[in-house]
Amino acid sequence: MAYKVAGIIDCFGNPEFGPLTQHRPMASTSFLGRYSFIDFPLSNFLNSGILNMGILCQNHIRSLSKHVGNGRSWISNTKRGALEILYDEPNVANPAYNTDIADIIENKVFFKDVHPDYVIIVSPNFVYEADFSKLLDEHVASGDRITLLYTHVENGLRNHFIGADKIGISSRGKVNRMETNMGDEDSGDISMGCLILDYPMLESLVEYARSTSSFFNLDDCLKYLAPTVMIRTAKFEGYVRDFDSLPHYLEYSLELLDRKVFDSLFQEDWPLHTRTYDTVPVQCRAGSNVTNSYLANGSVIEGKVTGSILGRNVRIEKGAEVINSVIGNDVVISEGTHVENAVIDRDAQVLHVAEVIGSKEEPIYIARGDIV
Amino acid sequence: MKEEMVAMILAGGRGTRLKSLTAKVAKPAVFFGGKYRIIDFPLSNVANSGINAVGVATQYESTDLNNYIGSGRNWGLNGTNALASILPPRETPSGASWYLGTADAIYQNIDWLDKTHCKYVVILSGDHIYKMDYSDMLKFHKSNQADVTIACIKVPMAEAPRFGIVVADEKNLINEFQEKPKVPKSDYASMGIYIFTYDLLRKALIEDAKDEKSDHDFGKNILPTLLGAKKRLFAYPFKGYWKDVGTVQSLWEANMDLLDPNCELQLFSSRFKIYSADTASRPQYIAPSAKVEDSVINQGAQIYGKVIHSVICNEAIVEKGAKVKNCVILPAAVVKKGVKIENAIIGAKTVVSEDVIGEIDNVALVNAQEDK
Repeated sequence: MAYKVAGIIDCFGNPEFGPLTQHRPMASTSFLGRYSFIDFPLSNFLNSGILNMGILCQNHIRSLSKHVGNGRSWISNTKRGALEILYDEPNVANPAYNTDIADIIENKVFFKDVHPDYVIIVSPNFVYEADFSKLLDEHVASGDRITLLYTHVENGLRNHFIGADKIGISSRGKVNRMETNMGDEDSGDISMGCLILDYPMLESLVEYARSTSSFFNLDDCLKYLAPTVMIRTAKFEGYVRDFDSLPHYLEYSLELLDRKVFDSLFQEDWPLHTRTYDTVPVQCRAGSNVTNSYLANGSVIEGKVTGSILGRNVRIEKGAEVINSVIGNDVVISEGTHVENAVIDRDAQVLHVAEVIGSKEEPIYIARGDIV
Repeated sequence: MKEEMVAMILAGGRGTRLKSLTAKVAKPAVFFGGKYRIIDFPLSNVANSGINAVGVATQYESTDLNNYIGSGRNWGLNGTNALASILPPRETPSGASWYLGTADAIYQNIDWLDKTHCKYVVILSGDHIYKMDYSDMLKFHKSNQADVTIACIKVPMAEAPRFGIVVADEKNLINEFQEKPKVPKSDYASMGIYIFTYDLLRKALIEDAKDEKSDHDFGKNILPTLLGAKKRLFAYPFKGYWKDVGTVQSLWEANMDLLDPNCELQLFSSRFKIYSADTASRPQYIAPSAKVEDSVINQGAQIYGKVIHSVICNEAIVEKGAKVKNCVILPAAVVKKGVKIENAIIGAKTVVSEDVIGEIDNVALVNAQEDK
């Protein structure tokens, strides 16, 4: 890549998954057993040749910093590149003021050090694999100052992408309208929360936001400016989901059990990197019965698992049954228990109750470390 | 740098009896247990014993092995004050020579050992599967005021002629050492793990190097000479799992051992972890059509067929209708639709499209390397 690029992951205003995101940001929440959501943007940046990354962190910095560590898993040259968590310490206790705009201002030294020609800002709740080097080349060739990545949804806006930004596109391909999708129409174009812009443009957006309202975030700013400022659109053709709620977390996770869906998300030669835990391979013991599932290393299975996703070091004991569920790291499902349509957070144990059963619409949630 | 004890790993051997598995990689780099390479065991043992400096002597087909060891990062041996050095033979002002034997490989690196200012050296093989805390062995060495301590294990008398055999008194003082004897005097076998007091080792190596008749081998030359010179050699009794995986059959057996939940190696225990390189693999996928029992499955594997009592490495694929029993499938190998394989090792990246049936005491090896 000929330009100096800063890849920015904006963790402000990401959807919450109820109790699942009580202690952690959505970005470092577990995904498909061995990943966290933030692995997608980080790997997209790495695979696109981007060396400098910043994470705009709204809160729960412990979980985020534990996952990304020194960033080594996603940096190709650790001298020339770096991954930094950009945290707005003064405003964390002050939610109204704690915005991505304020965070960018607080951490302007990051931008000063990296000195990027271009900035690519992404939202970790949109899960997709994209080559940003190609998108950037197209952006530069267009001569426009801002590009917004979007996906066209033919049917499904009533139930999906709720709370995401719906955009109107002019005949010249520019954004002429931007509003929150409330599910009133079933088809439309949805912003994927991804902006490509030159750094001076980001500076003017920040300045504009600051001079308008101290509570403004980047998204408010764009909504305000959409009718008057030229925002180029780039259509994304691949798989994309907006993980926007706990039921959707379960639904979209399990949807990937369909290998066609899986292959449309996971591109060949586009490795998804994550933090390594040096866990042992999975043991499917005699008498176990696993079908239609994703597993992660460290798990020991003696019972039945079907249509589910297991995290690392999960233990499914003899006679236990797990159906259509997402099971977090280090969870124990004890002998003879039955778990269905559930999201079980890490370190929990299903021990005393015979059944933990939710529905697809309302999955049952067992909190981190709980024993039930 | 000043370390009390440093480690030297002898990883230069070809391992001819592993046939085509070592056609392009040295024996220590051969895959084991779903996600490991053999050398992960001594390197993890070194790390877990609190040793900060390790030299790895490599020679035969060393490119992959050297790359794999790298800075020692995968075993945490790249920290501050830590040192992981790859030590292939090199040219010096006095000329150049291959490593002529195990002792010569250490002799040629005396300068490296001198720079560590160590008091003790633990010498290890790069091709054994076991977990061991060398710091316990060092305590034993010190409390006996030993010159050399040899880790020893009881073996069946019938197998004793394959090993270096030790005859020791009730206080573990060694009276006699027999290298691969036709008529063994005991069933106490050297594991090829030695702690030397460095001053003594240094002198012994220099003397041995001058001896043109010597094979420059620890078992054949150094140890008998020291014993003859009335040095204090002690046998350190090791209890636990230890396996020399020198043949296709023994490599297969050691993999099968892992499937026993009571296997003494305790590979799956979270204590004394074995570390390995991360492979950026997808989660394990077990399809609706799959049946998996009594098996170890690593991340990245995809199972559509039937897998019984087998070890499946990362990125290996068992297609629909395929039947795999008592097998070790190495990374990225593919067992095609409907193919039946039994009692076999399938080499990395090998595509198997015909049935392969080995015998339990004479397993089959199918390896794409054979065709090259």
